[in-house]
Amino acid sequence: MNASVLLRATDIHKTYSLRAGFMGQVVGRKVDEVRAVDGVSLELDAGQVLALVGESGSGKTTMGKMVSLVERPTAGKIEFDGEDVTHLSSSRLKALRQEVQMIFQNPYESLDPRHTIGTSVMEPLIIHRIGTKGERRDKVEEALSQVELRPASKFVDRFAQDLSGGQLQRVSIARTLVLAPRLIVADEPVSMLDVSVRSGVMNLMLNLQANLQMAYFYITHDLAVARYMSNRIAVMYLGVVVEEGPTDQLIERAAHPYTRLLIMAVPEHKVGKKRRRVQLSGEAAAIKEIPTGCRFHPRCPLAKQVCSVEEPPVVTVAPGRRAACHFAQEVFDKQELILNV
Amino acid sequence: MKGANYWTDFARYPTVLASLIIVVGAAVLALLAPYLGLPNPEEMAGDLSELYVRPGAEHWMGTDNFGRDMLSRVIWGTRLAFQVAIVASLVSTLLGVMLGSIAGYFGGWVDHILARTFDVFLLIPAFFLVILIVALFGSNIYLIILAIAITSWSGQARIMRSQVLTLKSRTYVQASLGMGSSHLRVLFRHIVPNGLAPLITNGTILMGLAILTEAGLSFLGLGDQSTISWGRMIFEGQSQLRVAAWLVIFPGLAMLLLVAALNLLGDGLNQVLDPNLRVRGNPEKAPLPEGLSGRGVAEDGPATGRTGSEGEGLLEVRDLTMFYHLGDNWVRAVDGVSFSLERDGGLGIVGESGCGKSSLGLALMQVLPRNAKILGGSVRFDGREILNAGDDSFRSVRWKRMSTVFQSAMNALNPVLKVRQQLAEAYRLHRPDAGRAEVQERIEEIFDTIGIPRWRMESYPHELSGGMRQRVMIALSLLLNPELIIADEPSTALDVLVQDQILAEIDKLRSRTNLSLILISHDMGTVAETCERIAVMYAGQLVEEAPTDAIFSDPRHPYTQALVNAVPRLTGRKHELTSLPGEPFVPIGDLRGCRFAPRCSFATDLCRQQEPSRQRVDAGHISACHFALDERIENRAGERLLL
Repeated sequence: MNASVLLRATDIHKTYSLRAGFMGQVVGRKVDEVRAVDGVSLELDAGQVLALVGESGSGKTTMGKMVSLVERPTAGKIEFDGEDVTHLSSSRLKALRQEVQMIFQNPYESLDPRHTIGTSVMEPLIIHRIGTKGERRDKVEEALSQVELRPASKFVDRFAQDLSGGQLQRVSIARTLVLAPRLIVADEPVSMLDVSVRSGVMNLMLNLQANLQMAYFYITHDLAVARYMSNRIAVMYLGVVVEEGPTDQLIERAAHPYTRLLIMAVPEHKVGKKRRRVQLSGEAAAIKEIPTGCRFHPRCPLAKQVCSVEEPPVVTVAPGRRAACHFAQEVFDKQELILNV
Repeated sequence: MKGANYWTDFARYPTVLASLIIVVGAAVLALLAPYLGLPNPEEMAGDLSELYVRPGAEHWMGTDNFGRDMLSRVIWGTRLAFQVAIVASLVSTLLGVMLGSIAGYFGGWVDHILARTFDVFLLIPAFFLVILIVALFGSNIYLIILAIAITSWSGQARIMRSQVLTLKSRTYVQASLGMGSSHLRVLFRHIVPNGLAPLITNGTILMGLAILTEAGLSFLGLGDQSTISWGRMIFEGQSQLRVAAWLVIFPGLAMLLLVAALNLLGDGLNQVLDPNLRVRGNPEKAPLPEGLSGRGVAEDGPATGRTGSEGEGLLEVRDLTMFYHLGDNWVRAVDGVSFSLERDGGLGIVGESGCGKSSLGLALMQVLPRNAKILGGSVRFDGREILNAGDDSFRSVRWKRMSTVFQSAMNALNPVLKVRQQLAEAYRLHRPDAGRAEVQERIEEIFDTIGIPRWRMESYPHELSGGMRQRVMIALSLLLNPELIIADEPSTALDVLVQDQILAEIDKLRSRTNLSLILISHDMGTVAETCERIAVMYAGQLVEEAPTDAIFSDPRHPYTQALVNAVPRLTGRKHELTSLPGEPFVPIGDLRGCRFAPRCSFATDLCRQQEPSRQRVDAGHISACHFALDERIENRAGERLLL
């Protein structure tokens, strides 16, 4: 399709089996399976930001592990820069790791407490045998100043315990930068940071992304953060993508009832206006017992007979906009539709 | 730098320090034995004229049946004790680290086989195996050491395995793998070094155990006959116990001392290496920071100069101060907080982590952590002082008229009791003479109010979803029809759709009954939609308090302005978020000036010198900023892009 597609995931499945244990297997106890990701296709263009939004248990983190090849999918294909990387050998995979880096949610656990900041940031260079000692040190200091930890020389000899959450997350970002990756998979990188620090890290990430021409696969539960960070949004629910499209359009006019409800439920102050609370009848479904038909139908205020029986088709409601709902077009057409909940 | 920390930690425990001195002293003696001018017992021919000399100036520990000097025998015996201890402990620890980490890290069938092997070795009665080995292969000291190691390594392996199991899911391990590290590199760079602490502790205790085992073997006559060991001395001396008790007493004492010291040292290492076991401060003993002696807890009645009359709200908080004693410092978690809450009112308390908002909630409910102390102020509930007014007086208010919803519902509910039982228990605690039917009726009523299906009463907490559990917590707090609820992040851990449902229930309750609410949260949006007034906390103090609309449209404290502009929004025009330089301030010790000054772009010398007083911006709008009424601050508030 498009020559600039950096990452393409096609029909990704990931099934975890809850093992019955060694003895259980011997006596033939049944093995439970959890379909964490159940047929997800996504594309991310070079230099763009795709936000993967979902609640807990939606499979967004699993999807992140899949596209960064930390775990391999049970089925499906992952292409990076046009090359099928799903089943790479470990040596080729190591080379690919230079191009795809990760940032994690918990800054307090992202760095080995026994290593100095300098050692931690240098680790990727050591693993990939890049540069001499002196060159490595220069790169580390450069990366630290890129993430605004200045003067860098003041930080290299300190330990993780001496730094605050915001600073630690900046170190994690610096650690990804030394390899000059083309894709960063960031799993809730600011959700554990305080408000006044969080915006600084978000702005930093955006600036780096623009200046260094990187692409982000940005995983978050927070739609407002996704709006601030991304060009496109994909919304996941119980292992599938229910809607995908350009950020502003999707938030302006969602085509899936779930997305609409998510947007409606975000608490936000508007002077003089009072929002109606969203009150769904059903309880959030657990990933272990996925409903038949449309996964959202037990909670969906628009659900009809067909929704509990048939899995909804993926409908292209507008160019670049798709939603997996039997009534996607109708929902999309009524911009002012307030779901009756 | 880290080493220095360990030393000061050691110094905190005198027994540990003493045991360390004993162990190091014994080790020095063992090393120096050949240079102390003591005759080598192996070459000691013995002096037949000096048999059984009692301990005295000539021979400090007397002589034995061959006329050999006991002091030198005991000291030379130390050498063997250390050899046995160090080699056995080292071998078993090495084996344990290698096999335990492989089992824990790779899991699967590798783990199955290895873990069962550890279990089998653990089941072998150690002493009998050692005896068997010695009986089969003869009594050689190296064989004995090996036998001790073989019976003790599996314990170390099990500890290592469980350490690795937790450590391998740490983010930094995942990160290193994601960068392209090999498994071996991750295992030996990141996992094993971080998991060694308990093995070191256990290894130290193993050293003592090894000494005892070797001595036991020697005592049974199974020891290596060519060595000078304390066990053998006791073995040989026991037949002459009546004639010369010192032959047994001194080696026995030496062994007791060293083994006891090793065990104490092991425990001490555990204390030092495991930060969870460190003691926190004791607020009763610590001296207060200066300038606080003047403050005091208000007495009940007119002594406070206020009476419960003229337009007083439901809750009146004045200068409430609660500090934590941490290490050697006082953390000013709640520092002179004042506010009032009207009947039916809803007050949101917002701030970042560590600002003291949760501590404020705890102080109001008077459920204090052990290292916290309320140092002053007054809390009046419905016109009556409830702060330190005696336990009985507060008990009549707590839960009956003023209750709380905790953040973590899973931790607050008892996992082994059904929901109905827990609610019934709480009800009976406060209404002891309530009949069965009354309790049941009340629980059903409250479940209907909160929107929990009645059949859920028979569920255990783990059978409920997060949202349901949080509802149960709210039901628990509403059980006795309180007038005020203090809710600390009641919806934070929940998904956004469930959160909205919970908040809707709270809304409904407030409109139906005359419930007042204090909602503590980090989320400006949640608080704004639920409460009519908002108080912003920073570094233990309230910096601004105003009606909700004013907090957003006309914030007059630079911190509030920053907070409001730092949150991304879902609606309206996209604008660049502002962020503050630096990190939230931790209020420790004696302070001067405005606590926000280091991060404030308006800060002047005045701010750095003098603590700002509360400025009245408007009716019901207060800001603790020197420049709250200054044009610049006002303009900045106007800049706030009305979205």
